Amino acid sequence: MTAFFDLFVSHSNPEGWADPTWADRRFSELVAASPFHLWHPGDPIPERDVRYLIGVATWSGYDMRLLDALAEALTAHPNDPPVIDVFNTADCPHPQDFHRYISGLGTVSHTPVMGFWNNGELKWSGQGYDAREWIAGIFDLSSAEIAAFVQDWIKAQAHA
Amino acid sequence: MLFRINLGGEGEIPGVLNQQGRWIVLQAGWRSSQTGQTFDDLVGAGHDFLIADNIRLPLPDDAFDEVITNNIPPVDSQTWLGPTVQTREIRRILKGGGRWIHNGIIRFIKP
Repeated sequence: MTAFFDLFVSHSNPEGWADPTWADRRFSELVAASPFHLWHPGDPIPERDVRYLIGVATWSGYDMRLLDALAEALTAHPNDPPVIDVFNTADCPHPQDFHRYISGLGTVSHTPVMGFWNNGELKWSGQGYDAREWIAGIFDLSSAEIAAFVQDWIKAQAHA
Repeated sequence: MLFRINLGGEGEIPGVLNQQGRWIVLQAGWRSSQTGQTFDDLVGAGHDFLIADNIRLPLPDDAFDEVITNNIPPVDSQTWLGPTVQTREIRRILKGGGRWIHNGIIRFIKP
């Protein structure tokens, strides 16, 4: 499954350069067909159990590969999957916009951005490498493999 | 000898000059997306960094054989991080015959 990674690929090819917002427009359609839920500020936060919120950039191969890997992990364990809400960082044109998604996140310099709630209370937040490592550990994924997948793909284009 | 620069680079390509914005890379807690290394780790490992914004790179015209851009927001636009990499700057700093390679794919060759 490479559905989300295809959005990164679109940023890499001439068709994507000509229409750089295509991937962001397509993002919500892919989320609707995935185990994730597209979350908007003002939407309810579950008051019971756990909830993850992940903000990703379609131009980041690392973020797109992470979503594909998480989707695969959820599909492999369909019983009582946790709530994973997602949003597109393109919906945050200003630094302070991130605080409408995850309060107390601090200055965002890297994606993904992430929050974890338990019984309606924010328990953890982070961004970039740390966030990818954290969520990968929860779902028994390898952050290093996600990074290697992206680097290998880029190298393969150079040798194509 | 080839002169190569990775705009938005984080040390993932050996022997290439990496460019990063000042407020981003010098922020406490900044870590490379790929390896998780800090800025000090990367400099200590021998990676060279140019700290500069994207609007006006402090580099001469016709200076580089290769400009690399990987995992960056769409060029010539704006994100919460500020102005993104500028096409006119890439064209300016490339030598004649120099190449701009984006996510591994040749995007432009300077005449």
